[in-house]
Amino acid sequence: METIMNETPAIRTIPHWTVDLAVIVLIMGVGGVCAYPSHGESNFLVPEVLSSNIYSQCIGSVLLGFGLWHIVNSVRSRLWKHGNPIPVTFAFTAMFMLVVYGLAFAYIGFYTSTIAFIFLLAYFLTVPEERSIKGALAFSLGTIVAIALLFQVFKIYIPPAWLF
Amino acid sequence: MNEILNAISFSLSPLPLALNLAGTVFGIIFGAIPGLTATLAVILLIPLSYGLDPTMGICMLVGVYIGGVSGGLVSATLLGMPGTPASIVTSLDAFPMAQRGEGGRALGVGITSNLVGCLIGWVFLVSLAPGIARFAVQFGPIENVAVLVFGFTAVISLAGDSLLRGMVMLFLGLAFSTVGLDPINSMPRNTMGLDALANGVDTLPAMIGLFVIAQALSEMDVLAKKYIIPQTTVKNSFMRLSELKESLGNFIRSGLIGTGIGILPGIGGALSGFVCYDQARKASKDPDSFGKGNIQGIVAAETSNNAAVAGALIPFLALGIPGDSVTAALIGGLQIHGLNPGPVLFAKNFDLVCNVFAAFLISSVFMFFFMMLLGTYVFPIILRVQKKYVLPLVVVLSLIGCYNMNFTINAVWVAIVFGIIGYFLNKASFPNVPLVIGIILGAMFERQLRIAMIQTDGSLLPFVTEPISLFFLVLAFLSLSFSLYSMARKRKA
Repeated sequence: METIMNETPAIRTIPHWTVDLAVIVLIMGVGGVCAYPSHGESNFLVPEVLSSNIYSQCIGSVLLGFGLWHIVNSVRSRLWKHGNPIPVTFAFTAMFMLVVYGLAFAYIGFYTSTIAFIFLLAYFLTVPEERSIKGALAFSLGTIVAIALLFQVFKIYIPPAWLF
Repeated sequence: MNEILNAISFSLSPLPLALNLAGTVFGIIFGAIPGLTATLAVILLIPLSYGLDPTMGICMLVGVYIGGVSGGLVSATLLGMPGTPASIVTSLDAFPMAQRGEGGRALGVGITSNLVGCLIGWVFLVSLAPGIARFAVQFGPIENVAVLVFGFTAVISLAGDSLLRGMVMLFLGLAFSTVGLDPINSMPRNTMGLDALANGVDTLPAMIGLFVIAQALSEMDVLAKKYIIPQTTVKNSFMRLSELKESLGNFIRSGLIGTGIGILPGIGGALSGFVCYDQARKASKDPDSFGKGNIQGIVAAETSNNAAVAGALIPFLALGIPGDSVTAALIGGLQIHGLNPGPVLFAKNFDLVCNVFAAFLISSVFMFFFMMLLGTYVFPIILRVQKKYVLPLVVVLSLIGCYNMNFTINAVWVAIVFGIIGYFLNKASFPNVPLVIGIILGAMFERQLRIAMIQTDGSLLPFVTEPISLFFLVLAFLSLSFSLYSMARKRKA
């Protein structure tokens, strides 16, 4: 992971090919699952020309075919070698926080985890020289009160969990 | 006609009017917040409508429906985060306008288009509801497959420079839709043995993940930019006469297509915007400006969205067939009063049907004035707060909105996972619109295609011998050919 320091805050980048490869792995992975469906033929009532398995396999084959073509094409045209680096300043950290928030949301408690999530995002989404713990904390507490009131008025439910 | 006038007069009396207007504002607020949808708003108000007179209750819910669909314009324009499937296409042109500081104008164009779409749809709703509904019932699996293929070609055409990437994303969406229960024999399929996937991929949370969470993650990459959109001017939010004249053809075309597609059960609003946008682009003298802030793109998307609302109400009222998820929820709203939509409702409760027509009209007009006189001033101020405040809020509200769709934590995970997928797709320049349409319409496409193949004993010939099917397949062919031709011409230039 490279870091370009000439702007504030620093912009981190990753090579273009890593993102492209991640998408191709996703496409081929889903294609693979469809190409090898996990259940047998099961329609005993009507003989189907286009059965569940064949439909799934057709879609899977298109995805696998595209994935292979894209890899060969990218290597041959040196697209992966010369693609522009992709900026990822905070997104990876945010993705990690999102997954942790999802777990906390389900098991610890919506309000508890939301206070922490909003506080951390509000703090880290501020440019470093303007960051303030007090400001982020006040915003997260104020927001959670507003959300709680909104949920009461609109009867929006929160998942049952260990804490509130 | 007398019944309609009486119904309008009744709907303008204080209590029904207040309920209708309150429902419309409630719907607009829900539509404007990413993650909260018109469906959720209707579901939340159904218990409240129980204590009301059935006519007033259903009029309030119709107001929520119109407000919810229209409110989707706000977040799609000012944040680039469409909260509803119907507003996905709107963001393609409205968000670039907002980024240029023309958010107020983009909202004004969208709101005017909403009103025009509602009015065109209303005329069809009132005059042709029973007749059109009977025609729509003639659409069997073969015709539905042809309509969906036409819709898919329109969506692929929106994929920008690479039709191939658009097609692959559509297939990826269709692949995701195969996960879960097989739509014909209900056997679990492609679940990889995971219980969490037994019910398949929830479509709305997936859409919220791909458009809202992914967009929020992308915005977090540009910390130096404090705001998502610059200061928005709210001057000139009303469309100029020249713009109205220029958009006349687009209004009529999008209104008619929106109503027509809205009538088809299950296909409805999600697809009509794409088809109309694609047609508007093809009819334009400057198709390259679409996606960069062309008001005709907003006109096409928003006119068709609201026309599709009226379209969806036609089979709902005339036949009891829900055209989309909101009308499915509205059936619940009628049933708690012991009423069932369909021919019997027309025969026994025609006054209620007329009141629905009247509520639709009043709500559409109120929505226009509320949004133009208040919304265009208030929403840009509310939503133009710093990213560090708006992004955490949007993420939290989107996730809790997903949970409230069917009260399972799975929906939250679907939104998170698709948010991460959407982020990488954006970075790798793969269009996520075809992916969403594949996920939303995939199960229906598979079901209709397989039933059609059973009916025809595996023959594809009926797809070109049935006139309605042939008509849509020819349209699909022309649509794709035009896109390929335009792309080839652009490359040559």
